[in-house]
Amino acid sequence: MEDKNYRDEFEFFLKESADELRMVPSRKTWYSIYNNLHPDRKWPSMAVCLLILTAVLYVGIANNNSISSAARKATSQNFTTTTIDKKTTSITNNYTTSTEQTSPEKTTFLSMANNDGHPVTNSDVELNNTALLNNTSLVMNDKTTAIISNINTIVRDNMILGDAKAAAKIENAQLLKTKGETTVTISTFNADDEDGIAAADKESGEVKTGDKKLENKLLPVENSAFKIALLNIEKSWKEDYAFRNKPALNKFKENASLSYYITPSLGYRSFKRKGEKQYTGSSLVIARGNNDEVLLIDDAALNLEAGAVLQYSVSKSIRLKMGLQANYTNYLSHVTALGHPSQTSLSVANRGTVVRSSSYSTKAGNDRINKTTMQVSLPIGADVKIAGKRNLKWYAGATLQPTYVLSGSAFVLSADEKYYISETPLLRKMNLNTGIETYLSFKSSNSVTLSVGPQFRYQLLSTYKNDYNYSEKAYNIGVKVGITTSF
Amino acid sequence: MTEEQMLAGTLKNNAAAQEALYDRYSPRMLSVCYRFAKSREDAEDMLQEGFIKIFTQLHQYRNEGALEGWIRRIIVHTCINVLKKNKKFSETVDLIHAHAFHTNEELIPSIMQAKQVVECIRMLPLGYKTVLNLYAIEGYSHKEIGNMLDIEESTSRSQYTRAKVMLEDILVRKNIIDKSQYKNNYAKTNAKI
Repeated sequence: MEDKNYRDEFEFFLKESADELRMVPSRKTWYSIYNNLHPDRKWPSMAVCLLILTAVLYVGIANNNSISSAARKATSQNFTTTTIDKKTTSITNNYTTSTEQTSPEKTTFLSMANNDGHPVTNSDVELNNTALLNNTSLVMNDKTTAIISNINTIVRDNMILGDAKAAAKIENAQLLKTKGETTVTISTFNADDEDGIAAADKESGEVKTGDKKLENKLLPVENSAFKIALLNIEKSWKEDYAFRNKPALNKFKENASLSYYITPSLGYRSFKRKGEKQYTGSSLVIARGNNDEVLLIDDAALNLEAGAVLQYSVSKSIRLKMGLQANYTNYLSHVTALGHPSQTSLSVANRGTVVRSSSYSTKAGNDRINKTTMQVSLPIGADVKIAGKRNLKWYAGATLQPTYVLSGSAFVLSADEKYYISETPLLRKMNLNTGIETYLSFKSSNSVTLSVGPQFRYQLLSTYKNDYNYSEKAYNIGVKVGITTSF
Repeated sequence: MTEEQMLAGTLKNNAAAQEALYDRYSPRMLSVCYRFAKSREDAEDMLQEGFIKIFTQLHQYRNEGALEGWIRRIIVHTCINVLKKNKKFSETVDLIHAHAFHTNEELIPSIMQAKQVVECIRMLPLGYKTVLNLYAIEGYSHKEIGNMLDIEESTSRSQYTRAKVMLEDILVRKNIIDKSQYKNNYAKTNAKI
């Protein structure tokens, strides 16, 4: 750079004038710089998002779990599902099947059905080297299902169905057709199958398939002692069905319940200068000056909490609870909006006094500013039953709520207390809240419990970081409404 | 927080120290960016980019000369780089057409003289404005300006001469300076305003 004394007065004049100008950048610029310099600081918010996602997944799974867990459990004792995709045989997870379509006289130990009602054909089924299969249910592609129940050994050798050039060797086979579905039931049966599987009625000896070639080859065989044994096994299993389907006792599910709730409330704050002993602000007047003049005037505003907690009864009258809660906090300050931003200063403990611009005077006027935060918290606590029997009960409870502040609008006082300055970075990210509540719960006939009652929530740490020369604690009073469902 | 503390903290990637440094120098640096930029938003973008460079390259500062001067050089170079991405600096405007730029003079706010002067500078065509800023206010030589803007040194000189004439004309029209007197004493003229 050229080291020059200004070449003429005009240049000096320009230089002097230009250097006099100061412009206060918006805070957004600093946030962008900060985020760029400290990308790792985004992890807390990402962790919270992950936590929320996990909780939502858990709630979803817990609610879908009740459909047929008992039936599945019983079935799983007797059935294993095998999925056959063309020439591949693999075993998958439990699969619920039913043998109700088969009458006792026409006991099925191997049935093959095409779900869309069409006979099983070459294209549907091709089994190679499938040794069948004790207590096994087969699912073939999407359409074809083979069910085998309660038979010890069905086919000992290789079985090939629907292979044009292979012989299907099936012992004790019976072909039936029920309700539009093609069912192949094995009794005693031998066939050389070139074109596919057909259905045949053993009683009438009639083959029920459109495939004439196959009809000629599928011949019913007399009942054997083996089939009678099958009938007995099937019968005993059916008689035992209720026992087999009895759900296992699950202590956790008996004692646990899931509660969803929402709490509209009115939010306030208490406020003090650091060094002062007492918080002020139980009324609208939040702070007074030295001559008792009113400095700050606040007003309540609508807050909202919503969440879900898992409740677990440890005794008849005490239950523990833990969950996830979203909070929106809000209160109003009466201010005077300035025509144009004014330069002022902010006193911060570790940085001294810094220059800021402000658009609001603290002098109470017709304008209002909302001081809001969005938070997520993890309420952990307990409820105690105070009174009540059967369907109507009265509870009292308390929670401790570690809280993460996701976002917010913070208006802090300038050093001379004449202005409000928008200074979001001073918001404390991690906070701790506590809630106490009492409520009546009414259990309806469909095992859903409604609960309603007042709640008080108080913030234990200041809204702002310790750098700020003031301490503010928010609190709100509201009505909690919730529903509780058991698992 | 003293400058040494800020420097030490910033070198340790301490967020509070970085913010303190930013708070101290950003108002002046934004006014530098504002003189080069088309709008305040563009100026803030330049400022943001410049401060990220400052924080990431602060270890290169060797305490030779004032920190503000070092910061200012980075900011100016950032502004030039941003402008170079968007516009050719060979842009020239004939003085014949200079009056066309006067049509917006009513937009100049009458808040204070410094602001008025800066707004007048910002009214100049981009090439004029950039060269004038670099030469008259930032103190770069025409050779340095030529290297920075990828133009001939002579082009920088001619741009500056034209810019200066145009700016004087604007300032006189706005009664910010008195043409009959400015060659002798601007301060005296300013006192009248």
